[in-house]
Amino acid sequence: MTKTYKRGELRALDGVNLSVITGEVFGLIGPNGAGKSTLLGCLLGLLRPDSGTIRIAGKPADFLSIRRITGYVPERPDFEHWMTGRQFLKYHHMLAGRDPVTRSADIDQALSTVQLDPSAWDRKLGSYSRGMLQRLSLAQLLMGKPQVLMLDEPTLGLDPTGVTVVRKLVSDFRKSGIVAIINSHQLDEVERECDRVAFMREGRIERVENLRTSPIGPYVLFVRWTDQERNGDSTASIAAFAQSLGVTVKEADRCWARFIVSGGTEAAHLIREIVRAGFPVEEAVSERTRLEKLFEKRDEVAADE
Amino acid sequence: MNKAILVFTTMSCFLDTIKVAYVILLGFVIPIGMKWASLVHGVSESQTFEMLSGSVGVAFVLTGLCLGVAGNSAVSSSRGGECLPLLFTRPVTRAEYVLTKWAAIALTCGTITALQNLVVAALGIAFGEQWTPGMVFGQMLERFLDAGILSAAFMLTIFARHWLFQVAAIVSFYIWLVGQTLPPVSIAGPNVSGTDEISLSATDFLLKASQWIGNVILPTIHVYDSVNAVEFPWTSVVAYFSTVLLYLVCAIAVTNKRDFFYGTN
Repeated sequence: MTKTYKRGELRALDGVNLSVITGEVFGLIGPNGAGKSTLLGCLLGLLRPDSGTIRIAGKPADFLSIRRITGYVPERPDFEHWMTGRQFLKYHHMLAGRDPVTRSADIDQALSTVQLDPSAWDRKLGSYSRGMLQRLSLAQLLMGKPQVLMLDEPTLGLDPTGVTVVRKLVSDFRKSGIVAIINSHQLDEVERECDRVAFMREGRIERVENLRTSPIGPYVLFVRWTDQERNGDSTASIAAFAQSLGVTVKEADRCWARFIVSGGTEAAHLIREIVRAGFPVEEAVSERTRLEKLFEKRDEVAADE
Repeated sequence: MNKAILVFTTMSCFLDTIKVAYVILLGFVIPIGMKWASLVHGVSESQTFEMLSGSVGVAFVLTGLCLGVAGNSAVSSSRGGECLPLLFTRPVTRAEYVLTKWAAIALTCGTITALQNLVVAALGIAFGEQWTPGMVFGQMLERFLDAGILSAAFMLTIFARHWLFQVAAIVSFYIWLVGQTLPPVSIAGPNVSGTDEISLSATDFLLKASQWIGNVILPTIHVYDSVNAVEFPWTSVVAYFSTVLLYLVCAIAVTNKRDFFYGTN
């Protein structure tokens, strides 16, 4: 699929080919201007591709039967400022063609699910903060009983409780077997929620990673231990110990070290051996998420090119 | 027609206090006040009164409504509010959206201005003016017809975003408006020259241009006159309905063609 703006001068999508399977949570990552939002716009039938086709459950994206099962959280929650929170949801409940009998209950339930303060439910949207609008945006998603979700920066502007709400929503949707496509710059969130992720740059999908299986490559593992019970020079002994395991120590101090490990298996083996060697390990954590690593690798490739 | 869009568009007319104040002032306070004053003090009705209780009055009320109802927050993308992308992800066709929005705006505007005409007629009757039910009904129906064609033209102007079209539409609208509101020229002597001549030529040009626009772009049906005419003027009926239809079809076509997404034009 290709999509251009400004009469072909700006190539927003350039030969994108992608399929997402039922029950999958799929992430879109990439730098600003990579084409992620344009791709979402095309998937929603709001933008018309110059060439190529989109099929959702075998039908074009702008079919009404597909819109009935599609839910969208926009990046910009620019809603009708004169409506109250409840009116806004009522509007979308009606637009979605849901049963008017359950309307009031559905609206209350959605507002409770996204944990929007009840004092704001009947307030005009013009007085809402960014975070409140984002919660309301999540609530409108629930108005249509969607089976295909398109979430554009769903955690933007949310406080930690709000982020938890998004995680819970995605988790609940996942259990019910929906398809979700998440566009986000929050790499840790994408990594936490998604099964696969596409890395986009300059309108192209450069790589699709399966986060549940595929290795991302060497990364730094930070390990900290308590040093009260140990005698002697921990720094020297940990370096020698790591060397015996064939692992490189990037940096080490009396009670911590940074190892370069090739992947999850080596990291698990290293931690197990460190514990076995008598280091009372307090924490072991990868210093970068796998997706940050992916970004890093892509940048290296781009620099080489 | 989509019930949700119909209900919420109509609601939006009455929830913005500034717009309501504007509509009350231009739609009711000024024209009815002028009628009242003319009846009480026995003076003839002014050009301004005629204007505010006719098709120009409809245009004024519509402008007020559209700025709040259709222009910024509910129709236009990338102009203050970007509500449409989310709305168009719902199972609503763009044709359904355009037609419902048009119907809601036309009916609201038509009702407001027809009500104004009814109050004016009631005042006239109370002060002994000769009004028949047919005249009152004819005037009220005319306001709905004016609202119908003006709303269709407004919708097309809002959705068709090519700058040349928008400039042409807005300039045409203002020429029409100026032509409708020009007072009768009475300064002309037998041998006009200089600035008087320029003024007369300009006025004449504006009146002709306004008349042409009125006939071609915003044709109307004079209901009472048409019904009472010796021969019913079918051409004006055909001109009116075909123009409304043309505007709506074009509005749907450009809406279907357009990209509606954040940051796109």
